[in-house]
Amino acid sequence: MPDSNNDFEMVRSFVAGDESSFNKIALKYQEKIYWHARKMTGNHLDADEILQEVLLVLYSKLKDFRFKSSLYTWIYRITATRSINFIKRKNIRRFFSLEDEESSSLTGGSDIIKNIEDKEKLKKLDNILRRIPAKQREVFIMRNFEELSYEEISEITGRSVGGLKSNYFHAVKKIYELMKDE
Amino acid sequence: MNNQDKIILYLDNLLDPREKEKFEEDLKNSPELRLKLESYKKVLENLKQMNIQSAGKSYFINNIPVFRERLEKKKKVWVQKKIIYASSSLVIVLLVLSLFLFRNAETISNNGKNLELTQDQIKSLTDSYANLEIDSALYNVADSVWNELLSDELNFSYETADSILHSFNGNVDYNEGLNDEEASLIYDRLITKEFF
Repeated sequence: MPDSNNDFEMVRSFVAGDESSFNKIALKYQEKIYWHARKMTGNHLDADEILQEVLLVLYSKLKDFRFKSSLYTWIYRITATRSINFIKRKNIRRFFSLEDEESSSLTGGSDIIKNIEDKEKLKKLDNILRRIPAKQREVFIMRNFEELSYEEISEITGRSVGGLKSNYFHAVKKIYELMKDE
Repeated sequence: MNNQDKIILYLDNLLDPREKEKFEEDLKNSPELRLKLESYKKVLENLKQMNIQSAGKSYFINNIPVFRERLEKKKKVWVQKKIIYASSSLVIVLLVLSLFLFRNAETISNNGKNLELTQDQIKSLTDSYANLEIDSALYNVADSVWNELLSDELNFSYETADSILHSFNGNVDYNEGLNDEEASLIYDRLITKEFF
């Protein structure tokens, strides 16, 4: 986990009025926010929207940060919640046919990944991840890619460790079924 | 629990020591189980390989200025919204206040009329109120009705009926103009008369 003391200093400095401290916080964590959102949503445009949303929330809510958890955990909690909410909103829009599956998963020329090979890999990953339920996907991303412990994931998501273990178990089972023949 | 479940739990380090030991024993004795375990490991490893997180550096460098720009726009919109809400609230408050003031002004002007009366006029009005002139008129009507009733029903003389009425008003001597005989007669008739 990132250095908490330095983070706390940056938060205090920002709350005291130093705008550049916010830039430092954003620079430090924006990639983590983006890639979590990217894996959750499966495309750049949605991930970008979530990143902007999370930064806005951070900007307005940092003054309420109580220094009880690490800044990383706090930011990750906001990111995870925003990502899940975004997916729910999107599913509702899709259900009422305001948006079709094709347009919602468009990555097109606006994607930040230019390397063809990387693009293919990420596309493959997105295709697998989006076939498992959002909550299982969230736990799988945190456990498998971020290598967080169940306790850390529990602190971030607010869910029980037992429930998280079950989510991860089912996610791995499903992913294995999807990938075993490749 | 089947082998597949055990593999997932084993890879996630969720088997308890006794189960883990047993599973590792099974692995030694079962090439098939070893293959399955390797297959799981490979899938998870492949997934990690797909996890590209190093691309798009320029996007992240430019993101902060983009965010700042959006933040400024948002702040402007926020200020505009605040102004709109504040003006709307002000208009509502002024409307309510003007209604309240208008009503008060009416009351004050009514009060003003009363204050314009002279002291003599006020004294005359209060005297009239105290004397209850209207009530006195009503008393007179009531007196005449009672007089008629007493004289018709009890055959009292007008004077006797009148003295009884006065006694009701509490300002007359009960014995005035009424001899013992009349008093006795009144008493007898009153106790035997069915009024209703």
